[in-house]
Amino acid sequence: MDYMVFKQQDGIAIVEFQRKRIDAALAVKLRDDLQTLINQGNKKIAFNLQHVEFIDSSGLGALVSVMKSLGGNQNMALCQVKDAVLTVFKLTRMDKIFVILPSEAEVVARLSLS
Amino acid sequence: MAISNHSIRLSIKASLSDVSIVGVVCRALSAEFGLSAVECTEVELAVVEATTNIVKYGLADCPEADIHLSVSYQVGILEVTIEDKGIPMPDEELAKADGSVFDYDIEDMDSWPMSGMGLSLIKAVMNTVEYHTNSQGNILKMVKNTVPPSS
Repeated sequence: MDYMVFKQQDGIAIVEFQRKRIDAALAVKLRDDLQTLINQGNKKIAFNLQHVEFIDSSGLGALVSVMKSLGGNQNMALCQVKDAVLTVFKLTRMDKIFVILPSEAEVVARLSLS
Repeated sequence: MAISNHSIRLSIKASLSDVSIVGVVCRALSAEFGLSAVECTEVELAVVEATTNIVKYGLADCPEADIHLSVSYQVGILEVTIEDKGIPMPDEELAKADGSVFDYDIEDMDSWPMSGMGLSLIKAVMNTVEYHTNSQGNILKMVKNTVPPSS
């Protein structure tokens, strides 16, 4: 999984995407790799999108699929989302279903509470 | 790629890995034409969604087939035309993409969509979207009206 860096903190899995784009070319592999992480026992996942400059509906769909597998937005959160990426979340109303916070520390704190 | 006045034509192969190329180019062109940051994102999104659909459905299993894009700009109007010779999009698909896919219940996880959002996104961010198909191929034309940059 060279496109993601993975670490653990306070029982939270933190995934930092290393690529600039989460799109149809990556979406299926992304969904499958994250499902593997979940199957390995990671039940709360924070995503750091600081490097991501673009997401399309396929990328969003993969993230929604992961969030459903985790049981909802109490077990998943995003941070450092760029404005261009947030635009797509807003167009699809998915800024209402994803927890999106400014920093990694805040998402870890949020997921630790749930 | 040929540039003439404010129009550019480019071609890619029908491969998902090449879709990002046209997205990035269209975004850069939009910025060069003076569109706002949000408008540039919207144009890139529309182009990527449309091209992805062609690769996945119109030209599935045809990675060597060509997809042609033309981007033109005159003051206040950006037009993107995408041409291919693949399987045409069914007539009702564009009409069906009325944005209702985004009318899900925020409280009901089962209603959250994981697919089928592309055409609705295109129609949400572009002012007009037209699709024509005939024996010579398929043409998708998308137009975005913009506020011209002040000189």
